[in-house]
Amino acid sequence: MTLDTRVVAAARGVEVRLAVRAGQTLAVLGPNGSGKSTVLATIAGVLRPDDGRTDLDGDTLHDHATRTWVPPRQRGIGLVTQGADLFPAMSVLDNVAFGIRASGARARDARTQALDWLERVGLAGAAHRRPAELSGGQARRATLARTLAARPRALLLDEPFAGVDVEAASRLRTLVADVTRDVTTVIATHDALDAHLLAQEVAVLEHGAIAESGPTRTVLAHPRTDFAARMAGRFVLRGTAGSGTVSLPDGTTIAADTAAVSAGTPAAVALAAGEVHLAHPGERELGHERALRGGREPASPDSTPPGGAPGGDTTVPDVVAWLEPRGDVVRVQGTRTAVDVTPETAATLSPGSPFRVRLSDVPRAYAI
Amino acid sequence: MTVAMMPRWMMPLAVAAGALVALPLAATALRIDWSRLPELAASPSALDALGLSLRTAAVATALCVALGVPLGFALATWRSRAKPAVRALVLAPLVLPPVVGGLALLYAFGRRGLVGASLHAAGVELAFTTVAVVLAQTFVALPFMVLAVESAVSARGGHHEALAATLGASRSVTLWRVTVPALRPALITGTVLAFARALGEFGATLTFAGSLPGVTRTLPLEIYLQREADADAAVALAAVLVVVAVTVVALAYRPVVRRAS
Repeated sequence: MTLDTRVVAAARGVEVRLAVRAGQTLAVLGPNGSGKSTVLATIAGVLRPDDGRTDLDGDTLHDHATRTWVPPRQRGIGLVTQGADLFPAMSVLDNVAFGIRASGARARDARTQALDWLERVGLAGAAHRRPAELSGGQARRATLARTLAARPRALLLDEPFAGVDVEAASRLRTLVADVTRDVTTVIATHDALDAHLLAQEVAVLEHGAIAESGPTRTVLAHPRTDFAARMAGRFVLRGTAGSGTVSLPDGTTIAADTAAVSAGTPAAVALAAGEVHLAHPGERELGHERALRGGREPASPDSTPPGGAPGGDTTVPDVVAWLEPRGDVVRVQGTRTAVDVTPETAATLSPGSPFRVRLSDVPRAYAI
Repeated sequence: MTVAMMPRWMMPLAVAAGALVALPLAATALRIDWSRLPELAASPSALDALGLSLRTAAVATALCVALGVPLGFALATWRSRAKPAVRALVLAPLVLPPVVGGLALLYAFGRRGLVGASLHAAGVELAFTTVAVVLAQTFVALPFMVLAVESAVSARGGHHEALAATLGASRSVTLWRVTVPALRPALITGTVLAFARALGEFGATLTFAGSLPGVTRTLPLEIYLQREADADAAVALAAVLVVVAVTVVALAYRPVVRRAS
C-alpha cells in the first residue's frame, strides 16, 4: 500500500505533502502544535481539510478538486492517538473485537481473533478488564491490538509513546517496530529517537510545513535546516569547505572530513551537544567532568583523536542563550552550539556569558 | 479528597433547602389518618387513578425517550444560528404554566384545533381521551429528556466516535455500542426526571384531557377533587403519590450514585 497525501488546513496553518512507500514507515517529526495530528486525522478521514488529496495504493480517498471524499469507515486506515482511545464502557477484549465485528464477523469469532491479538501484544491476561483498570502503556498496547485487528491497509500512530512511562514506552517501541514491519505506517512524534528506531523516512514539520524530509539517517545526521537539527538534537555550523576544514563566516576554522564536499563550496557540520565539550572557562573541571561521565575520549584536550586530524584543537566561540537542566547535566544552549556541562560548571555561566566548545571528533562535512 | 470543597457558610443554606422540601412532606405525613389509610388508599377510585397515572406516565416516558433523545442529539450536533431560538421553543413547556400548555394542546389537537379538526373529520378524537393524558404528560416532560441528552452529547468531543469510524463501524453501530453507553448517566437522569414530571402532571391534563374517572382522571386530579369532598382521602392519596414518586426516583438513581461514590 503506497500512501500519498497532500493536506491543506488553512485554519490550522497546515500545508503538507507526504508520501510513504508500501510497507515502509514514515516519521513525521515536529514539536507540539506543528500540525502532526491535523495531518494524521485528515489522512484517516476524521478531519476534513480545506484542500488536498489522499491516495492509498491507487484508490483516491480524498480529492478536493473532484469532491471525492471516502468516509473514514470505508478507508481502512487505522488510527492510534495519544488520547484515551479505548471505549471505556466495554471490556478490553470487546474493544479489540470491535473492528472485527464491524467488518461482519460473528461475535464469537471476533472474540477469538481479539484474544489472539491481545496475546500478541502481551495483554491476554487483561482481556476482561475495563480500560480504566489498565496502565497507560497497557492501554496503548490494547489500542494497537484493536487497530491492527481491524486489518488496516495503512497505520497512523499519533505520538504513540506520549504519556507512557519510560520503561513501558521502551517495550512499546519494540512492539511497534515489530507490528509495523510490513505495514505502511506514519508515526507522528516529537522525539527523534522514534524516527531513528522505527522509520526509514522522516519529514520534519515546522509550523505546518515540511522543513526537511528524506531518509531518516541522512536527515537526522546531516540536517540542512536549524529546525531539523534542533529536532534531531543537534546543531549545525555552516561555512565554506576547504581542504580538511570548514571555515565559518566569523573566521573560525573547523577541522573536518571534507571527502564529501568540494573545496570552496558551502558546507556544514552537524554535532550533538554530547559530542563537544566546554573549552573555556575551566579546562581542568572539564576533564574531571568527562572522567566522571566515563567518556571514551581521553581527558586531555590536547590529545589527537583517532584518525590523526587535529580535531581536539578546534574550538568554536559562542555566547550562552539559555541553560537547561537535563537530568544530571545542564545543557548550555548557545546561539549556534550546545554543550552539556556539570551543574557546578553551569553555575559559573549565565545568559550572555561567552564560552567556547571544543570538538572531540573530526566531524564529516556535508554539502548544503 | 481531604480538603472540603464546601465553605462552612453554605451548610445552613443547604439545611434550609432540605427543610423547605422536607417540612411540607412531614406536615402531610402528620395529617394522615393512619387508621383509615388502607381503606382510603385502596378505594376503587384511588386504585383506578393510580393505575391510570402509572400507565400513562410510563407511556409518556417511553415517548420522551423515543422522541427526546433524537431531539437532544439534533440540538447538540446541529450547527445553525437558528439553534438558540429552536432550543428556546423546544424548552418552552418548562416555563409555560401547565394550564397554558393544555390550552395550546387543545388549539392543536382539540376537535376544532389546527390538526384536531382534520383528525375529527377522519373520526379520530384526541381531546378528553387517555391518549390526551399521555400527550399532555409528554408535552411537559419532554424538555427534561432533551436538556439532559443535549448537554451530555455536547460535552462529548466525538473522539471515540471518530475512532469507531476508522475501525469500520457504521454510525448506528457506533451510536449503540459507543455513544449510548457513554451517555448512560444522562439518559437515566433524563428518564427519571421525565417520569417524575409526567406522574405529577395536573394543569395540562385537566385542560386538555378533562377529568373522566378511569379515562383521564389521574392521581393528581383525583387528589384535587377529593380535597373538596374528603380532605383525609386527599391526604392519603397524596401519601401514595409521594411514596410512588420517591421509590421510582430512588431506584432509578441508585446506580448513578453508586458509580459516583
